[in-house]
Parts: sequence; C-alpha cells; structure tokens
Amino acid sequence: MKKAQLKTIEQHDNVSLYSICFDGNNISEYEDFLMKFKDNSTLNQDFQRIIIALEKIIDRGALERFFRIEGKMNDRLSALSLDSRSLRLYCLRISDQILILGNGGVKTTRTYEEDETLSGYVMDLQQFDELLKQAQKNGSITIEKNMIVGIENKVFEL
Amino acid sequence: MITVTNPLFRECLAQVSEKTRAEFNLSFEIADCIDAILKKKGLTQKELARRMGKRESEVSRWLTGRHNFTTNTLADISLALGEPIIIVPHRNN
Repeated sequence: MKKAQLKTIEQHDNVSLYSICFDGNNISEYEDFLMKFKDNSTLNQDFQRIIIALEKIIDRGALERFFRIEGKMNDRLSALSLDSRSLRLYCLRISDQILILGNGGVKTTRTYEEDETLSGYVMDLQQFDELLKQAQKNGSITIEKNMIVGIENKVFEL
Repeated sequence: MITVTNPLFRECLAQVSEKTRAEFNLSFEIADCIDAILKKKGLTQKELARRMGKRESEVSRWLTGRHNFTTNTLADISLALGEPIIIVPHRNN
C-alpha cells in the first residue's frame, strides 16, 4: 500500500493544478515528469507543447476539448498528448477548474495497458480518483470552485 | 485569491522556444475559432465530422488546440462550417 498526498502545483483564478506526491518522494508525479523530459533533446518540442498547453489551461480553464479521454467510463482519466506523437501526460480532469496532474512518458505500444510504466501511472491516477470520490462523499475534502479544500494534512492510501 | 506558482514548471515554460510558442498559439487560436463557430451555429463535433466525412475523433483532435493543420484541412473545415476560419491580409505590392 502506498501513501500519498495532494500537492498544489499552481493556483490561479480560473484553474488550480494539483499533483500526487507519494510518501518518501521529494517531488510530485508531475514534477517527476518535468524532470524526466525537460532536457530530453529528442522529445523537447513535444514536451514544450504539452507544457504550453497547461499554460493555456491555466488561462482558459481545463475544458474537456483540450484533453484526450483515456481510461474507463467511470473515471476522470485524461491525457495531454499531441497527434501521432508518443509523449503523453496523464491527468484527472475533475472539473473545468481543477486538474490533477499525474506522470507520463513515451507510449510505444498500441495501448497504455501494454506498457508497464505507463499503466502504472494510469492505475495510480485511477485509484486516486476513487479515493478522492470517497473523501468527497465522506466530507473529508470538499471541492469549492477552483480549490480542493481539506488536503493539507490528508493522507491517501492507494 | 492567493496565486501559487511552481518554480520548476515556470522554469520549463521559460525555456519554450519562440518558434514552438508561435506554432502552438496558431493551432490553439484556430481550434478556438472552430469551437466558437460550432457553438454559434449550434453544431456538434459529430455534425461537423458528418459534413466532412470524417470520424468524430478527428474533429475532437482538431479542437485540442495542438493539431498541426494543413491548408487543405483548413479549407475543408471552412467549407463545412460555411465561414472562414483564417483570414490572410491582402498586401498591395
């Protein structure tokens, strides 16, 4: 069982970006994604486009059309990717104003399920999504416009 | 509202090249324009796809703002929407 907390990455009038931070890790999953690809010369342009997309999302909102729907019918898993390119960043689109960023990588297989690393990132987010729904139901967290309230000391067990 | 920013994310954004940013902005603005016309005319992505003989998933890719449009596709979309989506300024010599 893994313990995790939700870390605020960016908070603005329109949107707040969060990421999952696993117990024992100094950085969140999204920051790990940034560290992995920021100096990768081969994927540099794709990486840059994904992060500018996030800049636009901060400005405009996490609108459904900006994302590629992944995962299952009952989860909120989405990905930021580029047409016919392999780099993708997985996330949970909670609303137009709240986005939880996960990790990501290069998809070289037909589906993410065939890639152990990517399916690990996806499963972490799917499990986290379930825990978030439960926490909302039992009132330990609340969602208020662009903020998730009650996460400061909240530990999620995945 | 307290604004929070992430130093690593901001550092990565600062490294985005001018060319990548210019390309991205163009794709993004085109997507915004298509979306606005669809809303104005009460059309769905499915209907646009039908008019163009394309799959709905293709239209949905265009609207992400990260699609690299060809002039051919832009012309087809304009015709299907019945409105220009790009206007090139005329230059007199």
